Amino acid sequence: MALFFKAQDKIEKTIQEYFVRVDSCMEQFHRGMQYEFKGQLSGDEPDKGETHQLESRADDLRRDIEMTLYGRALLPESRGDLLGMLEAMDSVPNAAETALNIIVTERIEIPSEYRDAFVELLEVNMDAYHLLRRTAETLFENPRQTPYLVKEVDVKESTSDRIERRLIVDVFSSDMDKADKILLKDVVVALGNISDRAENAADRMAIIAIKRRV
Amino acid sequence: MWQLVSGVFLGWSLGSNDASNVFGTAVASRMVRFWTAAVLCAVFVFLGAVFQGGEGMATYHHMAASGSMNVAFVVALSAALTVTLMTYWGLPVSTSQAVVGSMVLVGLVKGSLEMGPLYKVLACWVATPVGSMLIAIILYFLLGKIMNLWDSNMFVYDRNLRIGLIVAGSYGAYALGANNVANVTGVFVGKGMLTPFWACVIGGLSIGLGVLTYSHNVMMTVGRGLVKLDAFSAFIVVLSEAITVHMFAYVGVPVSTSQAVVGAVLGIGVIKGVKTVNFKTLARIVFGWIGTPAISFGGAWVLYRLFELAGLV
Repeated sequence: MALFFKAQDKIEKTIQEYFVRVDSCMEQFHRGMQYEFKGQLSGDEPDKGETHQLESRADDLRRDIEMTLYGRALLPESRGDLLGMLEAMDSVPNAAETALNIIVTERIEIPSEYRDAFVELLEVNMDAYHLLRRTAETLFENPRQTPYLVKEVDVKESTSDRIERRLIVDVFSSDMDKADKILLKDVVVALGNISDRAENAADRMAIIAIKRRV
Repeated sequence: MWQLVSGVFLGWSLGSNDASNVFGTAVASRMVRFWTAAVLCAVFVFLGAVFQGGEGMATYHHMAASGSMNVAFVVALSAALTVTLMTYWGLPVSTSQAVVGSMVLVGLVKGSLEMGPLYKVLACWVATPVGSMLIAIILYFLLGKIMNLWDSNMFVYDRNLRIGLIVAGSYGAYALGANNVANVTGVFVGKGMLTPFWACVIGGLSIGLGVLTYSHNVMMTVGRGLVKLDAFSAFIVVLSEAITVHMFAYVGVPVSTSQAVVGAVLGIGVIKGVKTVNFKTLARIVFGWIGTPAISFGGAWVLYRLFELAGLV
């Protein structure tokens, strides 16, 4: 029987590797953002290009998985579910990379009075990502728990929305130059995208878990 | 002995047509490779024919009691041509109906049609889809509960279902061999040309040959066209079909695996709503069912007249 499931075993392993790479990418992003918001208080300046490299490496693995799936691994309905889930999952580090790029390439400096709120927004979005990772783990270990964690991701996404709205209102109520306000808003929206996309990916995982109940 | 060629031809056409009913869904949806399915199917068909094919032989022995070896040749050849034609069109058809269509023609012409065994066969034909439907409903609920209790992740779920499809397909192939081998060589046992054992061996081998050489086309039709099932439902359909056909192997009446599959699919439809059945393809298959005995009956009439003109019957 092992012969029939060689491709499936390969996919299981590659998915775990993919998750580890996404973790590294998100941690690098987290350190990079902390440095932007807190300056040297957060430690030495991380290499921001590394976030992009890690994201690219995760992309390579995702393509590997897709190629194996286009072969004969897994049941047809599982192939579609897994491809959809991976694409949704992949959009999370993409969003993180975009947020970091905006700050670095547009040389945006966060005014000191907003730094705490930006840090709070960053942490809530990272929490959403960590919950998404736990959701993915339950999907492969204990699918009954998956829907409960999906709700927790949803809670974090709502919290992120509230912080985003508050921050945007505060920024646009200030005496800052309008162009600076728009740049700060872009950073806020880009950060909030992380939890939005985490919620989408988590929803897909919930469907995968529920669909397999007869 | 040359008359046996038509029996081997019929076995080949049966194998090429009916393999779709046990491995069609799995192969068309690329859950199992065609060659893996074909080899497993051929092996288990042969085993089923050899170990449990004897019961059906007795039924056809009674139905084909009159006439010469050439009459047996006409019956088998007409049925084989009918099934091959249907296979060429990509329709899964009933070999049993083709054989009985030819037998009825010969029985009518010779005035020796025995109604007792014929009624038994007809009753079993009706019972096949109905029984398969009921079995599918019961299995869906029972095995569904077990699957839910298991709480497996998507990879374990996948693995279990793929193993289930391979095991159910192999069992279905075994049941196909046990039940349908009588269609292939039963008529020759009736004429005393073969012992039941050798009839089972030759029949089993010829069905296996049909599976290996010409079953791909119908497998794709059944898998892609007839049903849009999820993997669990597909597993239930194959298992229900296998159990039904195996039960009729004990009764000793060759039945249609195609009808058993459609019955099981309807069972799934009862549970989940009619969307599981593609009515356009279903209509084509129903046409094939009506066409099969009619064409076989007509073909047997033409062949019989030709043999009569040549003074061979």
